[in-house]
This record gives sequence, C-alpha cells and structure tokens, in this order.
Amino acid sequence: MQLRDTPAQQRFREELRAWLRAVLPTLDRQPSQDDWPARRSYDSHWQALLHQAGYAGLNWPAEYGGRGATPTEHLIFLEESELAGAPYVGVNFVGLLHAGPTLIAEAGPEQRERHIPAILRGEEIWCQGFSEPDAGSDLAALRTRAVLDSDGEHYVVNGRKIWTSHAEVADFCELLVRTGPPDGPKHQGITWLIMPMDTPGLTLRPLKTAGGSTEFSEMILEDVRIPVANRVGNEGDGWRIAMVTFAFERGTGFVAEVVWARRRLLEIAALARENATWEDSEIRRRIARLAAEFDALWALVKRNVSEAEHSADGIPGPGSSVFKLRFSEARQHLDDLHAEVRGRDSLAFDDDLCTYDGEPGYERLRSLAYTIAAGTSQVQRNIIGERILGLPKEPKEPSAASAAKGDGR
Amino acid sequence: MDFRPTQDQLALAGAVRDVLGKHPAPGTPGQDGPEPGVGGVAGALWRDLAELGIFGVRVPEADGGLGLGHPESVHVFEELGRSLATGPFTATALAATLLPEYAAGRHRVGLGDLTGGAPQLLEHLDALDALLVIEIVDGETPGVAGHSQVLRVEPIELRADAVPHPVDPRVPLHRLRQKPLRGEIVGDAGTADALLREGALLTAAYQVGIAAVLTERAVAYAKQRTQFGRAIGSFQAVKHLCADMFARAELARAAVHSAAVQLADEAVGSDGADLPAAAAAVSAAKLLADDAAVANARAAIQVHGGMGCTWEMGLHFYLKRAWALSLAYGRAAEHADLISESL
Ligand SMILES: Cc1cc2nc3c(=O)[nH]c(=O)nc-3n(C[C@H](O)[C@H](O)[C@H](O)COP(=O)(O)OP(=O)(O)OC[C@H]3O[C@@H](n4cnc5c(N)ncnc54)[C@H](O)[C@@H]3O)c2cc1C
Repeated sequence: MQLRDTPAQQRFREELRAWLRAVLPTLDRQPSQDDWPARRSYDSHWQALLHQAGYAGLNWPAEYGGRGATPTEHLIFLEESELAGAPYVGVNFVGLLHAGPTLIAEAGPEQRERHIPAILRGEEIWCQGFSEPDAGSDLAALRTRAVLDSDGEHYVVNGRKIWTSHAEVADFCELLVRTGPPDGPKHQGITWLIMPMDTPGLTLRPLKTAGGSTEFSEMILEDVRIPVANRVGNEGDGWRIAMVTFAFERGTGFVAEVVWARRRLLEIAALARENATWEDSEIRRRIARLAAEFDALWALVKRNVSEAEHSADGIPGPGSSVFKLRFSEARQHLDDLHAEVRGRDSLAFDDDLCTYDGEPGYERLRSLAYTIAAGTSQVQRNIIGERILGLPKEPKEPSAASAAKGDGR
Repeated sequence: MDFRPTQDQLALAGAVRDVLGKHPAPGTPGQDGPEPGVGGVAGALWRDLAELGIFGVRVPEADGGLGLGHPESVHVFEELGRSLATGPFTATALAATLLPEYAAGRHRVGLGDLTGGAPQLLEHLDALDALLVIEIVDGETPGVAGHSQVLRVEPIELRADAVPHPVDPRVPLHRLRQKPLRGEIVGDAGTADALLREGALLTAAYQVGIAAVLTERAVAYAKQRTQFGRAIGSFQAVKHLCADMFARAELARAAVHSAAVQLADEAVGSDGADLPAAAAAVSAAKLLADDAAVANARAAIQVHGGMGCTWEMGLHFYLKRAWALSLAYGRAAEHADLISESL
C-alpha cells in the first residue's frame, strides 16, 4: 500500500504538466451557460486538442485510438488537468465517462469501431436516455416500448424519456427500452440501444433547471426506427448492461470534480481571509472539515481505482456508491460555505453571467441536483445497506402488485 | 397560561390567506398569476393586503392601524411566507410602527441596513416611495457619533445600479454606490435596534411560512408519487425527510410565537427590564426559522427528485427566498452570538 508515483508515472505527470502549461493559454473564454452550440464546439475543440496530443481516452484500448494507459495514469491525468484549470468534459460527459466505457465493455467490434474513435476525437456527443416520468429511482419500471419491425432489421420505439442532459447537442443516445412484454418480469425485458439523435419521430422538449439553464430535455419518441444493428448486447440483457453504465457513471464520473472542489476550497479560504470572515472560528472549521472530506474522497478514489485496476473486468464496484453519496453531499456543503463567506454578495449572480463553470451562485443551484441525478442519496444508502452490508430490504406493502426486485438506479 | 393562538389571530391569518389565495405567486400551486409589476411588486396584491390593514397591525387604531401586537403580526407574516408574497412587506410594516402615515399601505417603504458594511444591496428599489436607512452617525458629536440612527430618504436621491442577475429572480436588487447624502432623521439608536429586532421577528415568521408550506407540498408529493409499486412516502428514507421537515417547522413556529409574546409583554410592560430576554428570544426564532426554511426547501427538492430540480416545479423560488432572508436582519451566526451574550 503506497501512494507514490512510479518513475514512469512521474514522467507522464511532468510531460502532461508541460503540455497543459503550453496549451491552456491558447483557449478562448468559456461560452455562456445557455449557448449550447457554442458549448458544444468549445468542449469538442478541447477534446480534439487532447486527442491530437495523445491524452484522449487514456485508459481506453489503443486499438480504438485510446492510449491503453492504466487507470492510475488516467487518474493522474484528471488530477493534473483539474489542477491546471483545464476545461471539464462538459457535453462530452456521457460519451467519455460512461457511454464510451460501456461500449468498450459490452459492444460488438463494429459498434466500437464506429463510435469509440469518434468519441475520442470529440466528434460525437452522447446523451443518456434512461429515466422516464414514471421510472426514476425505479428505473427497471421503464415502459418505452421497442417492437421488432416486420423487416426484422429495425426496432420501432414509442415512449417518453425525461431529464436527458445535453440532448439538444447530442448525436447519439444510450437508450434503454422495453423489448419484453409490458407485464413481464421488469428486469428481464430491457434492452440497451444506440439511438442516433437525428432519427425521425424524436421530439425534444427542453426543460429548465432551478438555475435557469436548459440543460436537460424531455424526449418524446413516436415510431422511432432504430436498426437492430444498434443493439448493444443481447435483447433482454439491457438491465445488466445499464448496471455497468452506472458503475462507470458513479465510480469515475465525478472524480475530477473532487480535485475541482479541493481547489475551490482554497479559493474560499483566500476570500475568507480577505473579507475577514476567517476570524469566525466556525467558518474556519467548516473549511477545514471540508478539506478533510475532499482529501479523504480523493483517497477513496485512489482506493477504488487501485481495486478496479487489479480486478478482472476493470468495472468499478459498489464502493462507488459510497463515493457518490459523500461527494454529492460534500459538494453541496462547499457551495453553501462559499455563499456564507461571500455574504450578501451571494444574492446576485456575476454581472455578466458568462461562465457556466464556476460562477458560485449558479454552482450552488446546480449542486442541488447532485444528490438526485445518477441515483438519489436515498437510493445510494439503500445500495450500501443492502448490497454492501447485506441488510434486509424494507418490508413490502402487502398490496404492492409489482414486487421490487433488484436495485434502484 | 394559554399559548394557543386566539380565534382572532387565526381569523386574521385566514383573512390574509384568502387574499393571498387570489394572487398566487409564481412557483406556488395555481401559479399562473399576473407577472409582478414595477420593482417586482404585484400592485393588486399589495392593495388588497393594505385594505386588510396588514401594514398597520401594530399601529394604534387612533392612528389608522389595527391596534394589535406582535403575536398578530407574526400570524400575518407566516401567511405571506406560505404564499411567497413578494414586496417590501416587512420594511413597510416596520416603517408604520415608526411613522403611522404608512399604516394604510398607500406607500411602499424599503429598508437599507448600512451598519454592516459593504455590499449594500437594496430590494425593490424601483417600487419604493420611501426608504428607511439605518446608518452609523459620522462626526464627533458625543453620545451620537458612532451610534446608529434611522433616516428617511427619497429613493430617487439614491445613487444605485440595478443588479443584472439577482439569484432570486422575483426580488430586483440595486447596489448602492454611496451612502445617501440627505435624509430626515426619524429615529435614534434605540429606534434602529427596535426596527432591526422586529424585522428579524417578521422575517422569521415569513421563513416559518416557507418551511410549513414546503412540508405540506413534500408530504402531498410523497403520498402521490409511486416508485417500486408503492408511494415513495412509504420508504423510511422519504418518510424521515418529511418528518424532519415537519419537526423543523413546528419548532421554529413555537420559537417565533414565543418571541412575539415576549416582545409584546416587553412593549406594553414596564421599564424594558426584560428586553434582553425578549431580544434573545427573537434571535432564537430567527436562527431556527432560517434553518427550517433553508433545510426544508432542500428537503422538498430532494423528495421531488428530478422534478424538484426544475424551474417549472418552482421549489427553487422558495429556496432562493429562504437563502436571501437568512441574510436579512441578522445572519444565524450573528444571532447565535447575541444569544450567547445573554447567557
Ligand atoms: C440535473 C439532472 C440531470 C439528469 N440527467 C439525466 C440523464 O441525462 N439521463 C437520464 O436518464 N436521467 C437523468 N436524470 C434523472 C435522474 O437519474 C433521476 O432524477 C433520479 O434517478 C431520480 O428519479 P426521479 O426524479 O424519478 O425521482 P423519484 O424516483 O420519484 O424519487 C423521489 C424521491 O423518492 C425517493 N425514493 C425513491 N425510491 C426510493 C426507495 N426505494 N427508497 C428510498 N427512497 C426512495 C428518492 O430518493 C427521492 O427523494 C437527471 C436528473 C437531474 C436532476
């Protein structure tokens, strides 16, 4: 058990630092939070730069354009980029952090060939079409129907998805559909499809968040025809594959944000010293406690990564729920603390509301979703209690027709 | 002792609730009300509430008020909070206790507390007919300099810039460029303290309203929304979120009512000997009510899941207001310090 870089890792870190120092000053200012086309081109440009320099898909296989590096090097990459203030994945979140890894783990060779390099080059944006109005935490209750067409080559899909982040700018969607009978066992009839976002029959209805951003949409699917060739894995095996997607989403999806949060904490401490709130011992202690929390979360990430690196399939384990639970809550405390230190300044957004990354009022509102998106805190606690600790499930209501089997999302 | 609200107090609250029900604020159920008018204030709502006399609750009847006390005021302000009524209600009611001409609610009065240093953000400035400013007196005059005083200022004489993006979109803000140069002195340090104390009490009552109505909304949603084939309120995790919300709101309301009664006893009473106790009670009420409103807004969002994070559902309006009010009339830390000094 040790935390030091190997000589190779040290070299990797130094090269990366030098590259970041050279390239970051060439970037434009981040576009405003609601200019989605501009955000897409900004994030894609950054991804293309990473790709040219050999830093895209660090731990993805070399045969698809990845670097084939170890998860540890990936972690070094996330750490150094964030410390240097490099752009975050942005609209590439789904593609890079969970759709891509899921495709690598589960898709066929042609599907990988088709999508992985394009995701790495920043040319393909993905979104996640899992949740439905009546299937949130109980994702397996999803009802969007996919019926095999008489041509035998297409699924015809009808239904409604909701909360689809970045749908407006996405090219493809990881879509969970029900191929089995509507009243069959709910975990069995689910299938994981790749849906091109320009397929006829798909309508988007943008939804506004509490922060005023149109970051997610409702998707209405009416006779959307999706080629059978776009199915990932077997028909009916979608629930298992979705669990793989979640493992990546929760396990590695928010890792870089720990570094961001730790950096933000130092800014808060600097501000507190400047405006004398630092003299309040309660403020000082809250800052200190959060420093301890984020450092421990970073250590937990290293532990999880080490375990994944030495596991057979490289997929993060249920320990990721511990990370998801504690990070999302610590993240909210961070934004509250920031507001406290800013005092009445926190009543207004930045006058020219120009950045979507880091404006404190906006971040505070955005962080409300952290304990809800990607599985609520209540559901994470259930997963920890039931799957890790083996505690019995809550007693079911005798009247409940459909039994709750398996995990929430 | 009978610490229950009286029939009259409940009737007053009911009358206010009826009027508010006719003017639903955006984000509250039945939210298609008209957009607020100048300076973020809905004129019709203001007029109807003025007609009920809510700005002169504590003003003697001889001066055109209702001649009631703090316990009645907090009932009114809890209702305003429940409906997320927007406007300079607190400041106008405070001004009326000082200058009875404001009791009828024909004018909108704001309040700027400039004793705490920058930044000076003023609410609803464009809607105001007058502004009370609490400031520290400059100069050398013994017994006055270095103490606070209350000024009445003409809003148009202020040099202030509109804030382009207030976090609470319903409450327009202006940033004051400099202290007002002119104003009529309408109160001394003692008046200033009394205004700030009563402002903290009314704000606490408003926060209780937020905390209580959000409890009801969360509970209703938890009963109606099903996942895993059952109402989400049947999961202990959700049930306990709701139970904690209820407990926070109840506790805060008890503290607010208790402070109102103590402040009322002091006011009618003798030489103000119990003022420190009443002041500490107000601080306790503000501290608990701020916590209840903010924590309940967060919990309500959590109970609503993805829905809670949408603009449409409107829960964010309550959270934004609760955040803003916890920075008005003393923050939790300041009130905690005040309480500790009384111990
Ligand atoms: C900003 C944001 C972005 C999102 N992006 C996407 C996306 O891109 N793609 C996508 O598919 N989805 C996305 N989601 C959806 C997200 O995954 C769901 O909101 C989440 O799973 C919760 O589902 P729900 O909203 O239906 O809430 P519900 O499941 O209805 O939950 C309501 C409340 O009940 C509680 N609850 C439910 N079941 C249980 C239980 N068994 N035990 C205890 N408590 C329970 C929950 O914790 C919550 O407090 C996003 C959500 C947000 C907020």
